Amino acid sequence: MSASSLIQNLRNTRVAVVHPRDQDGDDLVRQLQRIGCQVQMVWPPPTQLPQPLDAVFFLLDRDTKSSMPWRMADLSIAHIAIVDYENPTVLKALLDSSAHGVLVRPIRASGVLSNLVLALSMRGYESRLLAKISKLEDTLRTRREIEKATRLLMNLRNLSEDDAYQFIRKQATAKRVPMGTIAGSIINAHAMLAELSRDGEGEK
Amino acid sequence: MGSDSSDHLSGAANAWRVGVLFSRKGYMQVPESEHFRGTALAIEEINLAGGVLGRPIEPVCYDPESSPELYRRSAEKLLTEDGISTIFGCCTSSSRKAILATVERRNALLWYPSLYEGFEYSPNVIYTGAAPNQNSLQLARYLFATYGRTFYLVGSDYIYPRESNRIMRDVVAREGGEVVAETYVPVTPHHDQIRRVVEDIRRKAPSVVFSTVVGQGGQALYRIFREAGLDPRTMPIASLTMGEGEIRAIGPELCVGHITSAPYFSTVATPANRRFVEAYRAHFGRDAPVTMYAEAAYFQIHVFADALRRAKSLDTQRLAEAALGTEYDAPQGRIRIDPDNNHTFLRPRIGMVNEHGDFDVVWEAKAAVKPDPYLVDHVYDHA
Repeated sequence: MSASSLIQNLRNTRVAVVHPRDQDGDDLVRQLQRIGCQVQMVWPPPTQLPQPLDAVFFLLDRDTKSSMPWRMADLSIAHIAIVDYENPTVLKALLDSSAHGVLVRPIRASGVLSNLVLALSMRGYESRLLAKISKLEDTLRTRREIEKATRLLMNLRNLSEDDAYQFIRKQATAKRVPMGTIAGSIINAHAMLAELSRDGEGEK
Repeated sequence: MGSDSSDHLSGAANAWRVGVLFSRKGYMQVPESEHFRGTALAIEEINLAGGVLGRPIEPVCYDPESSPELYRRSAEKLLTEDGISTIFGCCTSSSRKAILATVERRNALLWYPSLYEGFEYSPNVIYTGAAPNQNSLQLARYLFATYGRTFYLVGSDYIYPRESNRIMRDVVAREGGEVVAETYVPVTPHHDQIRRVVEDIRRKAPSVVFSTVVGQGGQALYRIFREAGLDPRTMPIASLTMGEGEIRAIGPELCVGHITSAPYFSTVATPANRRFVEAYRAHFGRDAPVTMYAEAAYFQIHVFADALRRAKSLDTQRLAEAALGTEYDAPQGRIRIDPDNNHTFLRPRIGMVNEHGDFDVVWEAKAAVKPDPYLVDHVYDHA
């Protein structure tokens, strides 16, 4: 998302603050409201965050398990940690948390907006990368299946590699499905036929 | 407070000592001198009426000469050597940003009377000038309706113009208009640089010019614009900063038709404003231009005095708490310090320069508008 659309969407941004209701918690909530976000405060750390949500600010203790009992991997939201110190223990917890941003207590109004925008942008980037990776993995898998199906067709029908490939492609176009699906059905059909002939031999 | 600094107190050990930081020299001399006069007038009124809780307000003033670095050093001096915790000051965003860290670190309270580009909140600042939702949005709408859809943006090269132009560009784009150029000149530009801009304006022939060129550069722009034969009555320069004082300095006859969006013009018809204009001119001359700069600086001192009366202390926390939520009959009308964001409910107005160098109010909001420094509520919803 571009910088200006991130900023323009602030008032539609849903934020949870996992922090005790004290001076820092109140200051943070008030600044988020000034910025225009839809904020809710949650304490103690819940196993499930209130959904739908775009970002969460959470107080990070020494231990990420108790600080963030929700499963981060399941949630495509921005995580911003709040820490008290910057000592090695806290830094380790910070790295474990895979947060996209960090605020240090006492919380000042300035810094909240930059952290939020940065974290949302990082999360968006991360999502796009993950989506790209899963698409690439898909493509790789499909490619292997198409290759296998091509080889099967070449052997069964004595086709050239190019003809076999073109056959799969034409079938996919005609049936309006991805080539991987056609390849998959050829592989499955071949496996079934192979089994059938094995069973047949057994009956003889 | 150190023992050596208490020597300064000899005159009025009993006084409420406050800092005043406005430039009397440099490129911001005109508007900041108006801030200074508004401040001085209000302090005098309060002291003549017996002070606050029987004690006078004693201003300690430095002249930062339009330099952010001098602003920083003067603020540092006020907060450390002079033992002061409340400062009235700053006009440009660069000067405010220059002292903000110091003000926060020393837990002081800055009263800031200028319009600015928004996107700021500090618990240590009370903002009494307009935020963009109180001037830019109304201005854009008015210009669209009156002059047309092509905008030429020109600014001084620093934070306020770049941000204000960004806001204006967004509004123009959303309303279906077109920005035909966005250009910047140095903060203290050479006249040739302004001439090149004016030539470019003539070539591109926009419906309207939106200028965030401040200080003497802005005055030069208006002068050269007219010298080039461009007519403000058909193609005005619209601004958020050009007040009566600078119009006077440029020459009113050169400016008739130009547009400014601000919560205050000297022609506003309220009883409080009649008293204010009269008192101001009695002090600073029959012809003294009365501007938004003087007005905000003036009313914020009165708001401060009210808050001090209730807080009975210059302690930053107590004073700020007392100020938040305060209402006051300012010359522009009733204002209120918004406890949500420390900015001020102000009444947006649009003025057009007349032949006397005053502004005829050509549009005004029905009531004071809640400040929205982060532009949470988008204009487009209310347009």
